[in-house]
Amino acid sequence: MAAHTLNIYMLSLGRMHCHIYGRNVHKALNRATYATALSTNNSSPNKGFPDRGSRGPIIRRPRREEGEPRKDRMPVDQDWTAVYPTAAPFRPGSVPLPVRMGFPVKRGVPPEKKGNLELIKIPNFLHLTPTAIKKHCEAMKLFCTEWPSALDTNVKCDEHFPIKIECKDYVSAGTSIRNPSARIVNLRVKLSSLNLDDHAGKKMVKLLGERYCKETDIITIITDSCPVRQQNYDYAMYLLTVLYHESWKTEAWESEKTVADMEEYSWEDSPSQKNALSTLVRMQIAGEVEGDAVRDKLLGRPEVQEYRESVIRLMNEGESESSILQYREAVKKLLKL
Amino acid sequence: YVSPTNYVCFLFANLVGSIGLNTCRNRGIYTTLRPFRLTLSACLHTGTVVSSQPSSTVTVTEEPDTLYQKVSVLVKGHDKAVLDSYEFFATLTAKELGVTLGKVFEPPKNIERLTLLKSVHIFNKHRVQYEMRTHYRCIELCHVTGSTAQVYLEYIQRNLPEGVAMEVTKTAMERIPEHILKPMWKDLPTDPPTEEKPNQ
Repeated sequence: MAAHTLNIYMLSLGRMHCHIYGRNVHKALNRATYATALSTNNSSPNKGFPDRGSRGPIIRRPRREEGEPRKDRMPVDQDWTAVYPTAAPFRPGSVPLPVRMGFPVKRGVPPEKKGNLELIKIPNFLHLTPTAIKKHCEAMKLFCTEWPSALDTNVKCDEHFPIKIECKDYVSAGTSIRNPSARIVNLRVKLSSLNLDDHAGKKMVKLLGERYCKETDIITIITDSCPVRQQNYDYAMYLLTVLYHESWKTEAWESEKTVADMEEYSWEDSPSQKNALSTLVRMQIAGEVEGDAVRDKLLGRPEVQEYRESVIRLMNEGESESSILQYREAVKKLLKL
Repeated sequence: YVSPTNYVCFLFANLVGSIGLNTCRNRGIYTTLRPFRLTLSACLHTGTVVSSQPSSTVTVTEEPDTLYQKVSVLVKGHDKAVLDSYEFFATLTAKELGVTLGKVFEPPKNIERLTLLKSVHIFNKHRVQYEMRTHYRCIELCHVTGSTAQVYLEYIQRNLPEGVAMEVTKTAMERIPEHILKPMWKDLPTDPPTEEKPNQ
């Protein structure tokens, strides 16, 4: 009798589930129905669920009743930092706001907050209310130090602390927290703040090449050849030291500096000076004797000095309205036109 | 330079070391990362205040504080509303900690578009287009000391929301080092160098 009921039970099982599980289960159950005399009573407590074999029956704990949601028990003057002390996903039962989020159905409103995945997906700032931030800052103020009051303007900062080191840090989520660009160090100094004389300054500019900006007078040294930021910083300081000391030295071959190497135009011993003087000398009355004294006298004349300044300005600064006008006036005075 | 006491450092060093922040790890000037945050969060859970015993948690070292002329925090994200909230949080924190704010502005967004084939095989005329929008927000702080900068940045970075990346540019000011103040060649200018150069 028991075997017969078991038969029917197994058959019913087979019929219900064969369309889901396919032919294998059906075959197994068929085999089970033939071997009825030996089949064991392994009916699971969950009727209608498949046989789990050696794993044992699925134990479903009875679902406990939901209590009253927290938002219904919240006084108005509560401490919100106790509800959301740290970053936590959105809990519709803990947030007393009637928030709606999502795409509305036709002629409807955005879905409510209960069971709303969109609200859980988006990062929320419920743990960072102004009160919470103020509490955190109060506790953190112990570790802060004040900026020295004597260094309020940028000018004063540049005067006392001329070297500027710029480094970048990167924070992002990924498989690795490291960012290779974080090792780059950017060192900036104003050339005028270093103790250099005339020759040393010019040599330094020549040594730096592209790293020096003439308009802003800033030396920029960017180091990224070492793998660690501290090493790059040390290398940048080493480069600055070497440049400084090397520019003070004068090598033997520096005496071979030609006119083409000069940074600025100088009027002395230039074709312009020779031409001007020869013109003036020819303009002089033929009776006067040529000699060095005449040349010095001519050089001393104010028109010649004006001409010299206008030519230097034209060469160094380039052509502009005022500089060309100045040159014109100087030439007129020189040639007494 | 302000830091918590050493025993606290030792206790929490392991925990803090595992929380990876790419800030200041390679600078030789600083000591280990500040673990004060953990003591703070423990206190916040229970609601007690740290300042009941300030002297035991804070130590002041003699090494001079670095001075940052400018600290620029650039946050990048896909959602503008999240960046808006984060900006409000960062600016309020700066005000509360007494840090002078420079500019707070929004660099223009960057949209990267891809046009890919819709189907796995053939159908070249049917494509699908994707775009990735990156919004930016920049918060500049002026005249910050090293301790304050580290406190502020660590707080900001621990509360960085999911899906938001940050790039911090710190401009530190330094004096000219002693070996660059004067030229070291005793007899200028034609003597060959006999002394060793420093930092070699």
